[in-house]
Amino acid sequence: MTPEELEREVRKLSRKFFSIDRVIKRALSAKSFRSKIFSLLANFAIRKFTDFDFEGGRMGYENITHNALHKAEGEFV
Amino acid sequence: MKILLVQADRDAGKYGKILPKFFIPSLALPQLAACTPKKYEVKIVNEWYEKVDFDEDCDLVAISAFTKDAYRAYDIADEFRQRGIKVVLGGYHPTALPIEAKQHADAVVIGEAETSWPRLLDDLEKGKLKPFYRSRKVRPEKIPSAIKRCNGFIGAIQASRGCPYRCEFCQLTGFGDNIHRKRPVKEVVDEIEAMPNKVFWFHDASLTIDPRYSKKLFKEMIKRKLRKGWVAFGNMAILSRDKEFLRLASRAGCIAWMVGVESVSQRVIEKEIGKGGNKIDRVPKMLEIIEDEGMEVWASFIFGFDNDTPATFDATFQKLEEWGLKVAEFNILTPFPKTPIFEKLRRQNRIISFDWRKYDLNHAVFFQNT
Repeated sequence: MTPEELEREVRKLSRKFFSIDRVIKRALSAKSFRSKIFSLLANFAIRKFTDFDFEGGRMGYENITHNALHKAEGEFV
Repeated sequence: MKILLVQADRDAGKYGKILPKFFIPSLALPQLAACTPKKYEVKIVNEWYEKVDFDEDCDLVAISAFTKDAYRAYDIADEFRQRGIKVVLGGYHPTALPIEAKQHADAVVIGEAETSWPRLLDDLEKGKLKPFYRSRKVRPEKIPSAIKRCNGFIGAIQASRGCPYRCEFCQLTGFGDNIHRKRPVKEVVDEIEAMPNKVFWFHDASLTIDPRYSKKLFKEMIKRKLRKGWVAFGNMAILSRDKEFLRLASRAGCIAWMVGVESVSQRVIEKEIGKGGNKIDRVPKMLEIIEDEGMEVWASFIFGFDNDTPATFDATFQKLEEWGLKVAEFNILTPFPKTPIFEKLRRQNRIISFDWRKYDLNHAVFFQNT
C-alpha cells in the first residue's frame, strides 16, 4: 500500500466501525450500565479525534528539521 | 523566581473549552512542579484548556512537547526568548532530538527531569546554565506525587515507570526505559485519595507487568474505599488468564483496560511486532472474563506493517464484529524519533516526511516494504 492508501484504508475502517448505529448497538450490548456509558463516551471520543486535519501551526520547518536531524546523528550513534 | 510550565499543543483551542476537560491529561508538568524546590513560584498552563499569555510575569519558561506538538513548542519558545525570557524544553520530542530543540531554547532537559531539573534551576540562579541536562533514571520512591493538578475532569497518576517489553515502535524502548520501577503502594494510594478527580487514568506503561505488585495496589485501594473509577493499560497475557487479578481490579474501581492487541494477524504480531504474549485466539476469552467482572476493553490496533494489505482492514473489521469488541482505536504505525523503528526506516530511506505535525498516529509518514 502507498502511504495515501494506508491512510485511506484506516479512515474507511474508522468510518465503518464508528458509524452512529454501530456505536449505539455496541454500547447497548455492554453487560453493565457503567460499561454502556463508558463504551458510548469512548467511542464518540475516538470518533471525534481520529480525523485530524492539522490546520494552523507554522509551515516551513522541513529544512530546519532535516538539519537538526543530521546534527543529532552524531549524538545518538 | 517565577516559573511558567507550558504543555504545548498543536491543536490548541481547536476543541473549545469544555471538551478538552475530558482529555486524558499528561502528568509531565504536574510532576515537574512537584520536584521544583519550594522557594520557586510555579504556574502551569496546559494549552488544552488555557491560552499562553506571552506577557506573563515570569523569569523562566519550561515547555514540554510530544512529537506532534514540537513546532508549536518551538513557536512558544521563540516568542518568549524574543522577550528576553529564558526557555527550557523537555519531554518526549526534545529528549529524542535535543539538538533540534536547542535551536529554540536556552537549555534542554533530556529524559526524566526529577534530578536534573533542580540542578538546572540552581545553575540558572548562579548564571551558569548549561545547554543540556541529562540524568539517570529516577528511583521509584523518588517519583513525585503530582501535587499541582491540571483543570480536567479526568485525573492521572503513575504507579510505576518503565516497561521491559521493548516494542520497537514504542518511545519507552527508544529511551531505554526498560526497567520497571514501582512506587511504594502506600504513596500511590495516598495520591489517589488526595486527587480531586472521581475518574482517573493510570499512566503506567502497563499495570500487568508485575501482577503481584498490582494486586497489592488494588487491595490497598479496596481497603481505603476510594470510590473512584479508573482506566489502565494492560497486556493480554495476564488479562486473558488471571481471574483473581481482574476481580481485584474491578473491586478497586477499574472501568476498563486499554489493551494493545495491535493486529488481528498472529503472523504480524509475532514476526513484525515481536509481542508473542498476544495470542489472537485468546481475545474472546479475555473479553469474556473482563466483561464478566463489569469492566470493558479498549483495544488498540496499528496498521502499516509490511505484511498489512488492503485485505487486512476487512479481516480486522470482521474479527471485531465476531468478538463483539465495544471500543477500539485504529492507529497508523508512526516511527517516533529515537525509536528502533525510526532508526530502521530511516536507514532504509523509507521515511517520506519529517514534518513532526504528522507524527500523530493518524498519518502515514513512511512507505511499506511490500
